[in-house]
Amino acid sequence: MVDVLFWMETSALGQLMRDSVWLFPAAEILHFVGLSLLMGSVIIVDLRLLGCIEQVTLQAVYKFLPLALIGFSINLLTGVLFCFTDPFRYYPNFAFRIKFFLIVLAGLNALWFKLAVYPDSLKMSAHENAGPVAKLVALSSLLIWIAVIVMGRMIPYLEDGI
Amino acid sequence: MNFVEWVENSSLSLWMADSIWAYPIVLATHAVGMSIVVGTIIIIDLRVLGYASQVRLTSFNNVLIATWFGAILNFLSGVALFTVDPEHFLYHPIFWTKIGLVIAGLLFVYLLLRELKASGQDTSERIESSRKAKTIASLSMLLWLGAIVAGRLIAYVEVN
Repeated sequence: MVDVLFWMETSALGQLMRDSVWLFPAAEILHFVGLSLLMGSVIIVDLRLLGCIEQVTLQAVYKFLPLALIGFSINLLTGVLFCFTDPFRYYPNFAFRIKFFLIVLAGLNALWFKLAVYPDSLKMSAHENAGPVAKLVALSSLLIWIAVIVMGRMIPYLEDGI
Repeated sequence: MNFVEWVENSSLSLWMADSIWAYPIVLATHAVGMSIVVGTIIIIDLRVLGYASQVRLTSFNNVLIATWFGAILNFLSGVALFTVDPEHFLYHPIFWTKIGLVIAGLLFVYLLLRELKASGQDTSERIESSRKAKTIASLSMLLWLGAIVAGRLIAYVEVN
């Protein structure tokens, strides 16, 4: 792993990120925009699954899912840029590790949604309530993504673990 | 006692400085609140601009409750963050730019809701929003993007 981290640090990309005054803050701004886009889409879909939004089909609300993917892609890309900037800082960081684990968990939760909730929910009417599994998936999604944001913000404060 | 001293001696400021966890937790709360506020507003603006037009505008009523929840969360966490270093923020032009953009952004949410109601589009499905509503929605997105940019730059632009 040290070899990989060393390669990242000495790469042209890592060098470029460290040499530029504005690339890092610009990536941070994009990271915040991306997480807002992701959270906005996740909130409307999850609130509908939880039964908090009425008179709209799930099929219609799912139109917002591509925006979640766009937001996530922006953040994956900018996140990789941060890692290349200072890999030896992020890799051992406690908050970073938990955040990474939570993102994997969010991915598995999304897979669960796609397999167990998505197909049936497409046929539901505007007034129909989603089942308990769908509600559990939606609640997990909201909580996991909030935890991801919290852990991301904790990275500078958990440099040496706890 | 002047304003800065008063803020610095407040129990909130002392608590923020005393506890190791207070500052990072309040900062994290501010980021979560931001994602709720900006995220839900961008979604509503995009819908008004014609994205996902099958979703009725009334569907957003409860989404707006989340928006207000996030706004209250960020007002409270924002005040707490301000008390940590009032002098720094008080004389920081980027900080006031951000506050201005946030207030303008919230005003535009109000303007958008008023326009949707006035043009009778708040309950209809698939109907194009008025030109005025679309203009308000576009500007709203710009204001919130600006607020994020300014918020992040507070940490980078040094004053004095």
